[in-house]
Amino acid sequence: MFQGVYKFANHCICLESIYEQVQLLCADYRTSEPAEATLSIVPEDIEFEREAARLEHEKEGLPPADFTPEYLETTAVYRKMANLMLQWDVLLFHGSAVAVDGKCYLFAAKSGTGKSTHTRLWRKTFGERAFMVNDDKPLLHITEKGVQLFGTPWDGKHHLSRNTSCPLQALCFLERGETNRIQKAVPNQMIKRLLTQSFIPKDFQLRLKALALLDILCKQVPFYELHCNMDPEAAVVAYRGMAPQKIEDLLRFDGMLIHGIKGVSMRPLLHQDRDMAIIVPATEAHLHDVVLFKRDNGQYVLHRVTRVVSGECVSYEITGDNCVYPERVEPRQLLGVMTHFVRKGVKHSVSDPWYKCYVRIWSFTPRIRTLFNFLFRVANKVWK
Amino acid sequence: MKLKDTYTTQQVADVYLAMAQNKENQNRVLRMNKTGARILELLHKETTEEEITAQLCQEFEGDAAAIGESVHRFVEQLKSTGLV
Repeated sequence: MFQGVYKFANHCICLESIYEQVQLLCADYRTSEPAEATLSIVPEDIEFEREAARLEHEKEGLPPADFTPEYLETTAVYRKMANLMLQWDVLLFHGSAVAVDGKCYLFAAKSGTGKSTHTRLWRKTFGERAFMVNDDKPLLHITEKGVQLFGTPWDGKHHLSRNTSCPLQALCFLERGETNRIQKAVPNQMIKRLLTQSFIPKDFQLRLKALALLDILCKQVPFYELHCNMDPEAAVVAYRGMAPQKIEDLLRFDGMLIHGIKGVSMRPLLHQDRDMAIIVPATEAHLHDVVLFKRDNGQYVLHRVTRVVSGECVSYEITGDNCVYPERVEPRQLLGVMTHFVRKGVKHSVSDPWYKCYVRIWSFTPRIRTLFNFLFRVANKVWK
Repeated sequence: MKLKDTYTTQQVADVYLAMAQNKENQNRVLRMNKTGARILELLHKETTEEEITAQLCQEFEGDAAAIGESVHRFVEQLKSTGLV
């Protein structure tokens, strides 16, 4: 008999097993906190798993597999745990879950469709921004406030998982297709697939509980249907369909960003509700370029380079055309440079002679603007 | 007429899933809409199609003849699968 206490989906369970393999499998989840429940495996549980595996293989038309009792005990543990977890509103779901920027995207499909292949494309596309939460059987904590997805040691043949959790941003049903396309899915039409991929217990009351959790899941998380091939583009199509779009991603995937102007800081050139800026990706800028950069507080700003500061590392002094005081920006903060702007449906290039003339005149105005700004503030105080 | 078994209904999204409490039929899950779920509920007691139709006409908006037709089709489907 082997024993250990493990924390899954924020709940501590004492696991008593016949073999050591399952204890080793769960090692990353070991905890010193007291157990809330105990889960014990007996030989009958292992025989149940053997019979279940045999029936499954028969149903799929596969040759009978000869699983070791140690392996069958790991599935027996997860089955019992899935039943146990329902009392805490936690549901086992069969799917591949990848996180990008701290939000999780869960892909569900029949075995062999390509869930793991697809999530691998996400990791390749997003690099360090992405990681696998679980590649096979994550746990979902489902409440009226939202759904949190947890990694588990039951993480598929490639053993991809992390002992962590992320909010579930979307659930996507995946199918192979010749071209990549994604569309929002109506939950009613996904019920059969939802039931196939969820753990639905044999016990009647637990079964009702699982269905009640699925009802909340349908309300809390948007569903999507993705047809895809194995091209890297599939990950971009899926992400753009499901994720709130970040400006960096729009620039990267489209090679260009067209965005409306907010605020007054770039007057008289650019006006809110009248003009739009066309920006292309850039990691360096030149004097008088209008650049898009991201402040350390996450704010996106479109202002003009008023000075290039050379030194050990290049940096930029950047000021809005309607501003007085510059701010220092580093190259790492740069996202793009404006090449055109659109005013009343007419596109103007920064190469236009009249624009260059404007820039030349306006570049002489900072001192005048500083003086005007000072006089304005003095006048304000006097009149108050 | 009456259901041969007791069913409990759980709503998932806008779909109603009914499951038999009897262990022999535990793998059977019936899928229906809101109206079907209500008809199933009424079939737990001895009743007739006319009584069901009358009850639904009180609870739902719609033409009595159309409701009666829906009830008849639903009941015939249950009969054909041996549930009633």
